[in-house]
Amino acid sequence: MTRPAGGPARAVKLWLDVAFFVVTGAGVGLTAWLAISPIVLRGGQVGDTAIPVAVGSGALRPTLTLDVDTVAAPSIRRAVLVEARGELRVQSTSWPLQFLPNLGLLLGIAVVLILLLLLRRILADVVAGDPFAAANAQRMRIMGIILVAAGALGPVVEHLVARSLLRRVPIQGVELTAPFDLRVDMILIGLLLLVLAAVFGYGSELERERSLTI
Amino acid sequence: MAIRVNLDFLLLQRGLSLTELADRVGITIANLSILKTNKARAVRFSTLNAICRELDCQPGDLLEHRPDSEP
Repeated sequence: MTRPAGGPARAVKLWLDVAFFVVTGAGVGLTAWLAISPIVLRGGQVGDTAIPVAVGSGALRPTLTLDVDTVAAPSIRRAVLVEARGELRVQSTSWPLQFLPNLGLLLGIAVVLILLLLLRRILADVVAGDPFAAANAQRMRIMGIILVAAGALGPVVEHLVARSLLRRVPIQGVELTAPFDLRVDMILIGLLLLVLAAVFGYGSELERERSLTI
Repeated sequence: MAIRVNLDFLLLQRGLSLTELADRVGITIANLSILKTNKARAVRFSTLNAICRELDCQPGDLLEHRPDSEP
C-alpha cells in the first residue's frame, strides 16, 4: 500500500458521496411514486408525460420537407428540416402513458447508482492509499461494460418505448418519429474504462509483486 | 519458488527472536514473517545487507536453492 491520498481525492469522494445520496433519494422517491401511482391515478386524474420525439420520418435521420412560399422567395427550391429533435409533452388520463416514461427514468437512475457505487468504492481505496487494489480493475471493467451497453442498448430501449408511447398519441398535422440516438460518447468512455481496467489489472499485479518484495 | 530462506535456523543459532531482528533490521515483523515463510517474491539488497549484518552471516547462509522443492 502507498500513503493515503490527500485533499483532492477526499474532495472528489465527498462530491461522489453527495451525488450518490441525492440519486438514491430520487430513485427511492420515484420507486415509491411508481408503486402507488396505479392507486392514485386510477381515478382518471390528468397527468403529464414527456416523450422524446423527432420531427419527420426516418428514425436514424428524421427529415421533414417543408412548404416554402416560392412567390416570396423564388430562389428557394426546397427546404428540409433534418434531425429536429425535441420533447412532446402530453397531458392525459392514461396510466400507461404516465407510467412507462417513469419506468425508463428509474432504469436510468439504477444505472447511474451502480456507476456511482463502484466509483465510490474505487475512490475509497485510493483515499486509503491502495489505488491498485485487485478489486478496482474488476470494478472498472464492470463500469466500462455498463457504459458500452448503455450507449449501445439504451437508445434502442428509448426508441422502442418512445415508439410505443407515440402510438398512443395520434398527432395530426405533423409527422413525429421516435428518435434513435446512438450514444457514441458513452460507448467511447466505456471503452476507455475497459482499457484503464486492463492497466489497473497490470498495476495490481505490480503492486502485489512490490508488496511481496522485502 | 526454489529459493529457501533459512531464517529460523539462523535466529535459533544467534538466540534472536523475529521481533528483535525486525527492530534491528528496520522492517516490520509482518514482512520478516513473509520472508521467513518463503512467501516473498523478491528481496532487496539493502534488506539482505541489513539481515546479514545483524545475524553476522553470509547471504549463502541465509539463502538456499532447492530445485526439488519447486512444484
